[in-house]
Amino acid sequence: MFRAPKPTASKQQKNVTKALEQPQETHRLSANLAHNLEDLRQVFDLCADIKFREFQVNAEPPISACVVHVANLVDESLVNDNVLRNLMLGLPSSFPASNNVQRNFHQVLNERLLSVTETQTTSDLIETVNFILNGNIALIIQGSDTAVIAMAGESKGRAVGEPETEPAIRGPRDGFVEDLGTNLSLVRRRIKSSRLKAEILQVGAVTKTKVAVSYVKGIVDDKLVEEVRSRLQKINVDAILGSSYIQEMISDEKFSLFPLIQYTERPDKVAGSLMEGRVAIFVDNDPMTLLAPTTFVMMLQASEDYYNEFFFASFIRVIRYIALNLTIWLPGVVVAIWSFHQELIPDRLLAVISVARQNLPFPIFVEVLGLELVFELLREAGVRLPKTVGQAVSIVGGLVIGEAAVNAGLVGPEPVVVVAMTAIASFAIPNYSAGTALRLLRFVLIILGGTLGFVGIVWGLMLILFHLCDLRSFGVPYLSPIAPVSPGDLKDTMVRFPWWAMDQRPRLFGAKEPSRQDPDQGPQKPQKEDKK
Amino acid sequence: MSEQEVISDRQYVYLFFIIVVATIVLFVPQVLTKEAGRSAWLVPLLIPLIAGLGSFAIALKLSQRFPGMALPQYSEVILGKMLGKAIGIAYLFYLVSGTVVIIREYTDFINITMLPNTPRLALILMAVVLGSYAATKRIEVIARAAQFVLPLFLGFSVFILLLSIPDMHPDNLLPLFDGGFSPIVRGSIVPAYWFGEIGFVVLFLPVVNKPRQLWSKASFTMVLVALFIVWETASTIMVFGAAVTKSRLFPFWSLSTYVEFQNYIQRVESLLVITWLELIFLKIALFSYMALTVTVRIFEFKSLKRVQFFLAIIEILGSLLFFTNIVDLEKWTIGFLAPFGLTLEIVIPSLLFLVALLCKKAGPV
Repeated sequence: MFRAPKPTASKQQKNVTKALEQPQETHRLSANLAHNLEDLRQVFDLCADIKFREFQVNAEPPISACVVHVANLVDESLVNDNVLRNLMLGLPSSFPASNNVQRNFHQVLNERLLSVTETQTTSDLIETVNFILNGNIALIIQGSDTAVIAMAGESKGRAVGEPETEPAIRGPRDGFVEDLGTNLSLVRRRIKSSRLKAEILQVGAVTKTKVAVSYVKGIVDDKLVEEVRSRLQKINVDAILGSSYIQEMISDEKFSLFPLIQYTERPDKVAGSLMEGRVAIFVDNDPMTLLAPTTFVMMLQASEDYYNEFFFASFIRVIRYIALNLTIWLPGVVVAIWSFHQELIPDRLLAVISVARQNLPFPIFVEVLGLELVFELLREAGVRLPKTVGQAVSIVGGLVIGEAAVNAGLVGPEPVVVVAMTAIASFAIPNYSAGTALRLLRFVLIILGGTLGFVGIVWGLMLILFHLCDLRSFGVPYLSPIAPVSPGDLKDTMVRFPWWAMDQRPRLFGAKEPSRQDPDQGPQKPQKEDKK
Repeated sequence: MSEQEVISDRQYVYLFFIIVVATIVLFVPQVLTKEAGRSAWLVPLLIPLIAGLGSFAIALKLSQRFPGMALPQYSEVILGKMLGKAIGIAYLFYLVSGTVVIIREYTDFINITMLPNTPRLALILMAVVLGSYAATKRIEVIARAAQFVLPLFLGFSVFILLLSIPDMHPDNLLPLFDGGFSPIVRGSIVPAYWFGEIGFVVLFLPVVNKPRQLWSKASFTMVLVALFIVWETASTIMVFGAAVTKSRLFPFWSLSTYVEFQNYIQRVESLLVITWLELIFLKIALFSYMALTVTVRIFEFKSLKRVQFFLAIIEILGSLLFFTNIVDLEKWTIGFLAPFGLTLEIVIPSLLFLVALLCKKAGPV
């Protein structure tokens, strides 16, 4: 899995790595400490954050050694207390310093001196470099051509906090952080089973980003895991700086507005998805975890739906579906009605509005399109600015658009209402990237509605529908379980059935072990004792 | 066309529904009342239903005898290369002209009811672009879209029919059989041909995974379709009377402009048009796809997209130049397309089946 230069590596890959790791010729460590250090110093030339600590091991006679690590990526106290102190002070006096440093000394190191949870050995220079760069402590000893690696494990990072993009009123409050290990542990806390697997791959020729593929064995379809793995292994780029890089590289469709892989920063959501037979892809240094396969319906599910009472959760879901519809076509339909189908407007409203609109300079098509653009502008400005300034933007923007534009006679009040409604509806879509797709499509539908009326809108919607029907995410139809219909899975779409009614996993990706629980576990009244 | 796509029997049923209802729902009350007068609502239950079932049964038998093959392929097996290809080309001609007719039904309807000033070419282009896009995405996509759209349309049609209940005058239906049976038979030809189109789905998309289940489901669907049309025609006649229904171009659309509820649900015809447009776009897509597969299978082309490009140009030119107005379109439909269609739906498949049976020809098992 390592993307270190190997004879089998492709030509491009070689070119990328060659520029970075100079000493190609000497792959192996030698028994000479000075020589090894010279090699390492050459590799880490001008890397100010790499620390070399040369010292003498407390033996008779003393043995020269050196500890190499990346400053701040490794806990300093670990280096001081568990490695350096033991080696410099704590060597057992009974240790016979013989010529046979190689085997004997490694054993002693491993068993009695290095008080860390995991050690490894390697005699490959490049591998040693990789270990150091991954935040471990390399120990190189005079007379040995093998480096001992003390695995340092967790590095310092942001503490686990509340997921900011997916807040919930009820339910767990922890969210993923940048560190991959912490994220895996958050899921492990929820699924305490050895069937929860996490395979670590390395992607990115230069950045060497760790990517973990996680799934629950036995529930997940093995072909799906194989597919994910092979798609990840096919990636050959120099840098992976976030999960979206991976998402775009392994998606099923080259050009699609709709996200074919879901992302989340909620560990409970990941755990739930894993238990349905999906695969999670963790990317180091990004709190957003990818989930595949994904269907369109999932874009409208929030994890809080599962923590609220099912009646209320279903109600909220229905509201969200309405919001979805409004987001896509409300402005387009209003433009179409006003431009082509005035008969649909109730008489009294028509009378009022047409009088009010007599003095307005622009047709409603231009008004709606312009206001939508202004709204997008405001939203973008609000997101990019610091929070405190962002508020100012929204106040000024709201006032300018809501009040001044109407008072100045630039636009009528009705388009403002429509655009505001659409904006609010679009905020009700839980998945941000699905929301962005809908925002773009909204403009298309406004233009179609303004030029061809309802015919244009239906045409546009049918085109979108055909496209959606054509999409697949890792082989799963994007519109399932609605089209193609799978009745059993409809229990978790528009409405959410109570947990005691959802006995089966989703059919399309959880079919391997379909049963989730014993049937008929619904609440029952206690049996009454016979009255005598 | 190398890989075989599979759609489920449930999806087949949706396609049956769309292929029949999309055309019928707007035109049938007028076509029926023209011949059969006030007995028009009885028509679908007799000959058209039998025609639909018959064409479906023959097509199913053929596709079971030649599993995985479509008509252009097994016609070559049965009748030899030349004659088989000739039959395939006849079907191709029908499918392309059928597509053209559907496109024109849609453009004329929209031009008359909704967008009188929009150039016809724009509407035709929209339909052809959408149909071609869906056709190159193939049948699975069309079938899934059908599952999405059909419930919307049915729900809305039922809504209109329920709203029309207060305005109904059941006397308009009486007396039953006032002209005897012959008007009913005469009025059946065009609807019979529309119902018979169900057979095409099986002839050209021979992916039947569970034939026995498909048979029961499909016949049930056809009865439902017939009942739906009976309901629709009867409601229209009960509201307007046979004489008015006969004189309207699109009686069901007129019905939707007429119904209202308590003064605040009025003028719902735009919503009917919206849902109907979805159906007709789907039918255009389905016909485009069938024309595409037949072309590809007859001439053994490799590239779907290039073939579809030429078909699309033919469809655009055909629908732009072939008919002058909707009366012309109706004449062509009743005078030529209906008998030609019925021949292709029932007569030729039965003959093929007979020859196959007599000569003991069957597909690879």
